[in-house]
Amino acid sequence: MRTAAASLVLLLAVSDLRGQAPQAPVAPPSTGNSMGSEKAPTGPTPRTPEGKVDFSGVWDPGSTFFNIGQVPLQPWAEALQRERRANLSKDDPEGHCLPAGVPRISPFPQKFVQTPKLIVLLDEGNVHSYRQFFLDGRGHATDTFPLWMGDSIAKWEGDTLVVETIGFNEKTWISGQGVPHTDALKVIERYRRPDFGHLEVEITMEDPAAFTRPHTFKRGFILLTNWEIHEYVCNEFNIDKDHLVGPTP
Amino acid sequence: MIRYGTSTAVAVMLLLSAVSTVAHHSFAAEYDQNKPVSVKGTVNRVAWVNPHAYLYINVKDDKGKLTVWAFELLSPNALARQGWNNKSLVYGDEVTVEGYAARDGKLLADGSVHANSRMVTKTDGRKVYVGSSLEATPAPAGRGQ
Repeated sequence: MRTAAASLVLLLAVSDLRGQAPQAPVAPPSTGNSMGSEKAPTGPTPRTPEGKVDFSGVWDPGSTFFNIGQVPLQPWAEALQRERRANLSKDDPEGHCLPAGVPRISPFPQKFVQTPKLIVLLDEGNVHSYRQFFLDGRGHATDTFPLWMGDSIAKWEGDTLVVETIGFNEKTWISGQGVPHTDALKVIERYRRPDFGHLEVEITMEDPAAFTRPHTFKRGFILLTNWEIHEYVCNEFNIDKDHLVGPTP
Repeated sequence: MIRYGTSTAVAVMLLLSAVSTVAHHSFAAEYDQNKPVSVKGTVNRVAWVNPHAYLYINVKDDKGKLTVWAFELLSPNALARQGWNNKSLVYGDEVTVEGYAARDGKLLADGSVHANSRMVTKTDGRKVYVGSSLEATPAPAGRGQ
């Protein structure tokens, strides 16, 4: 999938630019690393005064935001996804400025804010949203109503931050291609920061009501050293929702 | 905007980087990649709004009749990361905009013609890449989940 997408863009890029240099197709990134177009900064993994890996920073998902592999779906879920794809994903909640859910992320950066007992993950998009990874030993909330971003608890396994999230509603899509889930979804994320400039997460999804078996995939992020997360107020002028007509307008 | 003698390799890199900056909505559900459009006119304004900025272009036909086109751009945060600022395109700039027509063919509420843009070319030949959700949205078939 990634290769195909990259090839498409490469094709577009070459067809746009061949024989037209020198030109300025686009201004350069204004600050430091920008959306994966430059190399990650180098250096050792930073640590907190308590000796834990410090995940603090603004992290760019690059193009890995939509790479989730082939989720093994039960027949009803496969049929639902087929229907969503046939509709050209016109009903994707993201297009309607609703939260991406978990583990889906937007193509925009995320910011980790870390304290000893709580790590907060701030999403620039698709709508501003946040997740709280509680490290104080608490269990899951037992009386919660269905949540867009779920209920997360976290623990350390050596240098790996393990986040377990449950308590979801059934409104979010796991991908822009309409992979569904139920409120039985459980997501385990294993975050690592192997060096200064990289963040890696291995994600395992379990949903015995929608999947035939658990599914694991990985994402990689690059540290943005000169960029803060940006304002993104999705509902400001979302005229798209009135024009997402699908195949038969 | 800074003028760059950009090599194709660098340009490709920048375009690849743009892939990761879009995809708020399904391209195919809103625009038709089989209906490319190319419009020549002058910049009316850039609306710095979410989830997508819009580039409004004044287009006059042979009889002097004015039509305003509204081209969807990337989101303001993504444009900023590509080096855009509020002076990148200003009122009166003569440009050609290439993009794709909206599927529903309906005018926007303000009467402008609705389309998605992917490239803006100034009269001196400089191109301003504006991205397109076409390039960020995996196709409905054949490109995985």
